Amino acid sequence: MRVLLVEDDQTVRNFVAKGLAEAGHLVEQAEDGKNGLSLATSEKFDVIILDRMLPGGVEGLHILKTLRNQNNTTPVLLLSALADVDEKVAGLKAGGDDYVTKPFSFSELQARLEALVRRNRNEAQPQTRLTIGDLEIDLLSRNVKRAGQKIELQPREFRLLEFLMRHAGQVVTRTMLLEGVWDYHFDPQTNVIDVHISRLRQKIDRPFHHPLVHTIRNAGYMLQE
Amino acid sequence: MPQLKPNLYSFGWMIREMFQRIIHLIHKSTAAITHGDFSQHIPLIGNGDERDDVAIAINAMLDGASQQMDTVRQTSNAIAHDLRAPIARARSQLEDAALYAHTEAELRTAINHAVEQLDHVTSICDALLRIAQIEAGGRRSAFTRFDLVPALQDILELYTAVAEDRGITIETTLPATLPFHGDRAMFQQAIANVLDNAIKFSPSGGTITCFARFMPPQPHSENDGTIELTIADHGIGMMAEDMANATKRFFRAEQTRHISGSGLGLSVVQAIVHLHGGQLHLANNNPGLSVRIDTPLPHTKISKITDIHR
Ligand SMILES: Nc1ncnc2c1ncn2[C@@H]1O[C@H](COP(=O)(O)OP(=O)(O)OP(=O)(O)O)[C@@H](O)[C@H]1O
Ligand SMILES: [Mg+2]
Repeated sequence: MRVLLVEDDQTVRNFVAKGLAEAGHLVEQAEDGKNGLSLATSEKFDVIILDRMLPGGVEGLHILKTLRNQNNTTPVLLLSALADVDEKVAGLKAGGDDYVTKPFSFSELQARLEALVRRNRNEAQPQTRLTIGDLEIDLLSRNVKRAGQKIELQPREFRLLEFLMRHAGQVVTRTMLLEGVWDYHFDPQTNVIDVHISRLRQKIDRPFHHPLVHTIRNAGYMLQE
Repeated sequence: MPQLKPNLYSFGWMIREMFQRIIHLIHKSTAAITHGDFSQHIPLIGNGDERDDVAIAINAMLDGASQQMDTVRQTSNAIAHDLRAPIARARSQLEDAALYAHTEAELRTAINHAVEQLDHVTSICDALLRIAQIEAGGRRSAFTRFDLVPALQDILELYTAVAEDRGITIETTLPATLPFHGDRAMFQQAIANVLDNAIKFSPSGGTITCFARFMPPQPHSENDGTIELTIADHGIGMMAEDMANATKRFFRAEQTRHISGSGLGLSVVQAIVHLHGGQLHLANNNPGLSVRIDTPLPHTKISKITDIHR
């Protein structure tokens, strides 16, 4: 995909650009707000990574608001050293689609970026059934089956599985799960997510030949055939 | 009438004289404070009149400021110290690898360890910023009325899995509903931190109890009652003098030094509870620790109106 990266810190910009290029994406870079704004408004991107505090008088949120005022709906991921909850709310209110605070790990950024782009593509067709390999879930009846065998899940386990299935083939980080499945936005100190994943595995992977839930080292989890 | 004039004059002169003297003394003290010396007090004249009252009030203010300065100083020292430790580890791992690593694998391991240490630094900074932000009180504007029971159940569900994983049972006694006023997500974080401790400091096979109830208001009380929430464990417990220090930033009891933690969890809890106008009580659970959070339920506008109608 085509990514616009607006970031003034050269170390961060190089690091992100390199990682994205390595993952096979086309990256366009801007090191200040003015350049960022002119690129964002004149060319088409699949996603924009926007630092909030930029030199040159054009701030990240200003770029974002300008885009949204022009009915440009390109997904925007805000990047910022401002970790404050209110700052996040302000960023999302201005039309941002996700928010990652500095310092961040590349895997977190990449996972969120891919989820954003995928969400943007999928929004058109609402689904009632999700399948991967021999695992299928029905979002209406809440039935889960693997290899034709019915599996009983607790409501939260179902939501966890649903989230993983909606992001099948993508890395999902622990923070994404905590936010997306539990709606918690704080650091839970212990690795609560790992425990819940391991319980889900007991039910959907343990009795079968090959596992579907994979641990991705230093990043999170992925549901994959 | 005319004989009143000289009296008024002399009275006015007396007051001016008195203020001038007080102002002179205040000036002397504030000059010292500007140079960082909080110990300079305004001397009492000792005849117990208004002048002494002013001096006493100012001295009390000086003592308060001095105490706050001490806290700031201690906190900054603690922050610097507690940040240095992970930074030092990261640094020596990196330097060691730069000097002695022979293989790429060795280098990568060292780098990954260093990154972990730096993540730890980040989480300490995040917690400190969070405490400062909560203490500033701005988020009170996001307060709403909500039912505490489902909020509690959500958090309990998240942590029960962790507890069971370690062979610990959580026993819950909750009423059907509990009216609550506050910031739901923030209050959940406070409960999560307390639960995290209870699990962390409990032995395998232990039991944690979670109990919440509504306490009706006392007559003439300024609130609509109190929500009392208790989370008690049967773990290693705390000594009385440690309980008094438990909410200080970076505090960790001697006997738990070997268990991971930054000593910020309860500082966050304390800040959140205070923001909600509540109180945090730590007590001995014989054995273990019992943590109680009392949160007042402020008068609702509706109940005020009905009060008027009564
Ligand atoms: N339930 C408990 N039983 C025994 N000791 C406790 C309990 N809760 C807290 N303590 C003591 O109080 C200290 C401070 O607790 P706090 O939650 O603030 O920090 P922490 O758990 O060490 O680290 P963090 O919460 O930042 O990860 C702990 O280190 C421990 O010594
Ligand atoms: Mg703790």
